[in-house]
Amino acid sequence: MSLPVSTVFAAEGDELAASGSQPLPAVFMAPVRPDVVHFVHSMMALNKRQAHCVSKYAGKTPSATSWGTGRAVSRIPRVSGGGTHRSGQGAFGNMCRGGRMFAPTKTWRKWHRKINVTQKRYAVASAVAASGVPALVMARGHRIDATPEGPLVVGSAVEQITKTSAAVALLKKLGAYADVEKTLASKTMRAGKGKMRGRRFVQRKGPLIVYKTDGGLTRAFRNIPGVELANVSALNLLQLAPGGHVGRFCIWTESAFSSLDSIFGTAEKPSATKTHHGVPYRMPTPMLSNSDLSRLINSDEVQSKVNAPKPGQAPKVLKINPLKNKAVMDALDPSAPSKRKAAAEAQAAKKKPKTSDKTLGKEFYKSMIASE
Amino acid sequence: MSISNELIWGIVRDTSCHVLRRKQVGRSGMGPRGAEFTTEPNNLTGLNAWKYSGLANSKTIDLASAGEKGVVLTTKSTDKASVGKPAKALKKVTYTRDFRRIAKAIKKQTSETFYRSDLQKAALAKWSLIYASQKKMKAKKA
Repeated sequence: MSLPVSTVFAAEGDELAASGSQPLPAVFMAPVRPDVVHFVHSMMALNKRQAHCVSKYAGKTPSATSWGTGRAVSRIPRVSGGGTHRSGQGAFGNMCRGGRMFAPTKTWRKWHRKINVTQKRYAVASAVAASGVPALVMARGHRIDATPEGPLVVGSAVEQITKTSAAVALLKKLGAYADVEKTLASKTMRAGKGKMRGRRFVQRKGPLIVYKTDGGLTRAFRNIPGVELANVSALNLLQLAPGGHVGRFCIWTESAFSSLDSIFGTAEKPSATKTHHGVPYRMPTPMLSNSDLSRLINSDEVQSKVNAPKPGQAPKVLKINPLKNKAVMDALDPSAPSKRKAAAEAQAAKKKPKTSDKTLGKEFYKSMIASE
Repeated sequence: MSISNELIWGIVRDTSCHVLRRKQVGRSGMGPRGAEFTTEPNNLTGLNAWKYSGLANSKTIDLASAGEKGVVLTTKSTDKASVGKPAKALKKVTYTRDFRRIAKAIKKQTSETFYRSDLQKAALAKWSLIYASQKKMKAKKA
């Protein structure tokens, strides 16, 4: 089997053209594990939180004491003194008006989560692998119908782009601009209070551009709605799998793409940059080399071991109510159609309006008149 | 890619952005689920099912009206040169002949070429629907 390769598309020129090819980095063969990605993502998402709590004095300011028993009122602390309606009212309790909340929140809540570093790397490798599968990228909602290939690799000259107009032209050439247009069209007012907290609008995510050295492209691309940029040596799961769903649409520069093997390592070689307690990091490898289940089940190797169906076992059939299903009834009772027909005729005959015979009455009337 | 269609379906069935889940009318959140549809491209029936999935299957069939008359038949290409290449993945053919001949062509594209014989019935059903809508459109215009 020939090693899979990815086409590298030239950054220059008006027409889309291939400028070379790169062997597919081994990380694209990493197992796609949405469960691991989701878990790590939800943990990482917690790590951006800021501490907040209610004031520790809220609801605790009145001087209040319980009246004790014997006054035929509940033993909740009551505001002391007189001369105001407040005196004698319940205080402090979470059930009281003006009381503190139940279990007041504290700044020393556990805001952040430690995540095992190997697990984190597993999730990133998994998300990178998923970003190379067009079906998964489409399932995330990215518009990639016009893109030439997944994963999409562009010549390293893109890193030297300094003008946003050139960046937009490149995205259009790659067929990736539809995803930007989707982002533009999706911009809407945020629901809820985030509106008044500097997060007024929400919009979909567009393409993620992964580069190795920034020769100006971060500033060229950053004002295009939805487009995000990432350095290949610091890939972030929150960008690779937004919302915990794998399949971000990634555009790789050639140098970033070719350095993936040294960052994540290959099946044979460990990573050159990542270590864990001094031991070089090894990329996860799939448990199943072939996950095509129908092909496995229908393979000669499996089918030759499968037992033949045991004789004497009637195939299970769905029980159908013959009183409701005519065809089943007819199979049980061959005379059913004629019975049904007869019943229908009898009913029709019953319904038939009686033809009234008025001749007798008319004759009687005539004779009555004649006799007068 | 080392990822198989089965695996893609396992991922996509729950987390696809195209899935439409509705509550069963008149019921609480518990109990039987309501209908589950999908708006993904290349799904013949709009049902979120492995058989009809336009994302997970490497062979798909889709039909769309070609305006006032005829139908556009979309199939997913399976040759190696276009797998993993979204821009080349779909083959579109427009048929503009009469109802019966298009039905025959659909049968040919689904079953006789051993492409997706299991989708023939659904494809013909969709063509009937498209045809009916086109007739209605014509009647409105006249």
